[in-house]
Amino acid sequence: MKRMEDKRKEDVKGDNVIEVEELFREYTKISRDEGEEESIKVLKGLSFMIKEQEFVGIMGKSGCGKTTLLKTLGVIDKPTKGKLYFCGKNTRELWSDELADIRRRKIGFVFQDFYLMDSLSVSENIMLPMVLDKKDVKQCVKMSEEYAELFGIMHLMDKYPYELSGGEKQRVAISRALINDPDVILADEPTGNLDSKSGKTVIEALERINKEMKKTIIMVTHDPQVASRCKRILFLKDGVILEDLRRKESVEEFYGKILERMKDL
Amino acid sequence: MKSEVEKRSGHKLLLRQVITSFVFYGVNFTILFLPWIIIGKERYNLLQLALKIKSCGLEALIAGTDVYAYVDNISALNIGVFVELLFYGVYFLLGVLHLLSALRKREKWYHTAALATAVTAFYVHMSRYTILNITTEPDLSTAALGMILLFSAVEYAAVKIMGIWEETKQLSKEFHENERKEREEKERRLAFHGKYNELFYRFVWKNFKRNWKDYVLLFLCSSMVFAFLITGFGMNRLLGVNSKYVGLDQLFGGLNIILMNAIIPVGIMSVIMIVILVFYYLRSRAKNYGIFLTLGMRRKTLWYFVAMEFVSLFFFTIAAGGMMGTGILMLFSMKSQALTGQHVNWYSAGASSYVKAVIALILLFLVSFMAARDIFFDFNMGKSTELKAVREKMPVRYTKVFFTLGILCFVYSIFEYAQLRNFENVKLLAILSVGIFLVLRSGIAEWAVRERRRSTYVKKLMVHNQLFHKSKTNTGYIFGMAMIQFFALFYFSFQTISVRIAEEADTLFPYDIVCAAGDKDNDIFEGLKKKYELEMTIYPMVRVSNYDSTEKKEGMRDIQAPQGQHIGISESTYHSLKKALDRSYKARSLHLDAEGEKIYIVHQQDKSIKAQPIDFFLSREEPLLHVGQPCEIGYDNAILSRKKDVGYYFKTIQGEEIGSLTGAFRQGLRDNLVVFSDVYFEKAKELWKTTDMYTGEPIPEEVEKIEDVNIRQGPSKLVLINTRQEDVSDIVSDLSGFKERHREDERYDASVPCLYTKMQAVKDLKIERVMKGVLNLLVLIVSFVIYFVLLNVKMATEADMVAKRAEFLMCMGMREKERKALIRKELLRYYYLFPTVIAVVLALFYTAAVIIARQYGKADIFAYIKGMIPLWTVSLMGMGVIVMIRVTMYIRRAEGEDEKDGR
Repeated sequence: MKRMEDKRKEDVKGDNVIEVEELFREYTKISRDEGEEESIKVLKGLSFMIKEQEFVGIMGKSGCGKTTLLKTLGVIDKPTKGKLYFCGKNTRELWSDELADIRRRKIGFVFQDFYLMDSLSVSENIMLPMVLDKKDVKQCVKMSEEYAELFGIMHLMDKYPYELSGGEKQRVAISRALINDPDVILADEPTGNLDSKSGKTVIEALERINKEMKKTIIMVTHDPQVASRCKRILFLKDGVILEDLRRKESVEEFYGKILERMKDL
Repeated sequence: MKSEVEKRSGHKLLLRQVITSFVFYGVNFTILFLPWIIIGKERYNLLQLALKIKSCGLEALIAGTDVYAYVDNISALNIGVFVELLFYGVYFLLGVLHLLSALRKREKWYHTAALATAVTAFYVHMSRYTILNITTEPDLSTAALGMILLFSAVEYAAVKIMGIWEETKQLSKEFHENERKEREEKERRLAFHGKYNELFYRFVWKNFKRNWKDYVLLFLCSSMVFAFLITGFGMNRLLGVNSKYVGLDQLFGGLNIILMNAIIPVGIMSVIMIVILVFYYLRSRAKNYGIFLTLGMRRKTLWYFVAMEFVSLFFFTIAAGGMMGTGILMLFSMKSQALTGQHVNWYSAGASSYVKAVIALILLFLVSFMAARDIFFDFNMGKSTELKAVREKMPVRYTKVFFTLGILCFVYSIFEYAQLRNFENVKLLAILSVGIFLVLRSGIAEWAVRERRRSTYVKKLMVHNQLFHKSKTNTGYIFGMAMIQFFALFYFSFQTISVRIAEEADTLFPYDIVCAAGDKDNDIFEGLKKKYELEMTIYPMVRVSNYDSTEKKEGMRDIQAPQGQHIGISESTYHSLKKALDRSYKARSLHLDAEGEKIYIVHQQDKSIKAQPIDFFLSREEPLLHVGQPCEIGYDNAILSRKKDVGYYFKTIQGEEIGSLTGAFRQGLRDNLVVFSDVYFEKAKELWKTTDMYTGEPIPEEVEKIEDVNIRQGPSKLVLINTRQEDVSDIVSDLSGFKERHREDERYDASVPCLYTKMQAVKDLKIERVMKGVLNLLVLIVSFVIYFVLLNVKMATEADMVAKRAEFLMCMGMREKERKALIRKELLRYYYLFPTVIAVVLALFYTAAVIIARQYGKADIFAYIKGMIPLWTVSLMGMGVIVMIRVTMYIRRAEGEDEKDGR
């Protein structure tokens, strides 16, 4: 048994960033009519691996468990059963402060509704993960400016989130997600609240991050157009993986395939 | 397989244990065979003693010696000594067996049995009829046997400790090793060196400043509550019996009680307010806490800042509230001369009042945190939604059960509140609060579920939405607002109105001078009759004490509850007193018994005083009474008074009334009338001759009864005098000798004097009524202010959401008039009309309950309603107008009209 575990660790050491084995996530809810406790199984024994520099999309109907999966992968939620290895570490064996360190250093989050702090300016929002990591002030300022420049929001640095448009907010959120140079970017419907133009800017930015910065990206999306930019799609239905689709063709052809698969969801 | 080293160490240990056992048991056996039993001039060891007794017998052995104790019962002595010798024989045998088993390296039970035998033998030795009683040097025998016991115990402990010593050493080593490893692992896994930079603190501060307004609101309200707490505890101490102004509350007709009755409900209202505010504050902060955690802030760091926020709030509250509270106490101190006739220094409240207030404040915050506990589970991590906008869980389980439970609480509370014996206990109002909360929480949930199923649901959606969506918060508001208005309309209104309808001084005090005199005072009163033009009536009386005169629960730790004293009279006297006040009075039998078990009580108090029993101990329906002045009777005896004669007896109340026959000098707390049947009263008059004045128990032997040593008569005549006003002070000064003579009667309780004057009582009554009226009117206003604060808190905290909704509805095409009507309807229906209706209904029920408890007649009820209608109308209408104005302003803001007007 131990030998198998060691072998698995050896495999992971290769290029797997995330490895999921028989992952379950359940919630307990009290039924409104009967008043009885009922267990809702959101994720029902998922198993998959995500390699370094992959750009993975997660698709499925509303309520199929996409966001729950993303939050579990982002070590915000704990799995009810099963194993989740993050960079070879079994997250079950990690302490809560270690998980916080992983979130701070190894994961960048991009949420549909941006999740920015209204009390902080754009520049402060971007540098927040670095500040939380006790980095030097000068370094924080320098890095925040670099990313702002990269995503074209330099002129907004002194503004506050409530003064920005949706696309601008999402670019701030992406800059914030990248500032600590994480291994993985987790994006929960990053274009969901944006118009098509802003959405395009954001997806292009994510593509660039994946290609040029060589970051692994896991993105939940409803939009087949956006999903077609990914290299791989996990189709989720009722808490299980319906299909693990990989892109071998052009974006347009992949888009067609995704539309086909979406009929089964 | 044990290693060689382990084996060797095991042998060593065994050897050490064997040596120890041999040394100690060797010493013990030596002691056993030493001659330490001295009888007369002879010395014996235990064996020699046993043989001697066998040969000549115990009686012969001690004959002629100076042993006298227990010799009258020689057979018992024989048995006792034999048993003791037997025990030491067994001990010797077990000791030998223990040593033998130790040599054979076998651990047997002999060891433990020998020690147990030594303990038992020593216990037997210290009892009666043992060697101790036949030796002329008992100390020597006790010392010898004590040493045997001591050495046995030391040997037992030493051998055991040796056995576990190595194991303990090993465990300790492992423990320290594990600790070191844990430390290293912690360092390896959680190393996060360095300091947070200045930006970190700036961000935390900016984040905190974002909710600055909420923080200030919370600070102001908690300071107000803390000021109340200090005022409450401080005033309680200033006016209480424990302050250096002993008896101030008694002399001024229970100002303390008036004050506490006002402060407790205000305290309940404050608790509701502060819990709602802390709950709201935490919810509004939750989103930002969640962002910090999601982005990787460690939980400990976040907790540190959350704690800092609340610790700073706590200290600011203590500083500001402390100053406000102290200011109120100082103001009271300045006005104390005018209010109470005595100057009271504010600092007499003492440090303990402040400590109590701080403890109460901590408890208050803890309760609030408990209410908002779900926020602390995950701090809403990974969710960008504002918690205050998130739908709240509606209770779905056991709603019908909780609803029924709530109704039962209400029914129980109101039924008990209507009973005189429950002294309008505030705790019953607390039970009512719990009941109403349960009814509202589960009732609204049940109603919401049904409402959803109806076809009209969508039509009423907008108006009902707040209750569906934020059921927890809004039920809290409705409950808080209803209870606050209830206290205003019922509790404080009753206190205010009842003062106005209370009897006039002449009715309350029908006699100018009332004396509790003795048989030897005849000459004094005869002299007064000759000297002044006066009407004097003298009735026979006995002093009646009750066991517990306080509302406080005394327990076993209290040596003695403060007792009350009343006037015991016969049924004939009662009828005469009634006739004296009302010529048309027709005497009817009170159905009292000749054994004195049934009594009739006249609670001498006015209509503004709450209904209260004369005795608070155990069952208030059956007071525990004693004929005579208070005696020493502990809790243990009081509790057993049904089973054994302790001089105090539970009496059955055959009937009772509220009114004044001789004078409501102590407003129902003391000097009430306890009426016995004529037959029993004759016996009661003679009881003092056979009752121990200290213990209350009967003295059977005639020779043992010595007057003023162990028996004392106490007051036996109730003297009622009416005279010309100008003569009162002269008569009182002529009675100075009488007062001096009865100083002993007043020794137990200065508030039960032997002489009352109407003049002083009227003066005290005036102060009391002014204080009561002003204070309750003030608190009534304060409670409406608290309601208004709560309404404003609700509006202020939801202003953003309401404005957003208004904008949304505008975009949806809803007309301005309809939008305004929607907000108005929502606020006025649920947060003014609904709580007000609940408050009015409850207030009517409880007003009726108090009317029953205080036994108001038709005229009183009519007078009360006459006072109630204008007070309620003004309060409700006034409040309604203020609420309407405030709601209109709020709607203007929500609709953005202020901006439109350029403001």
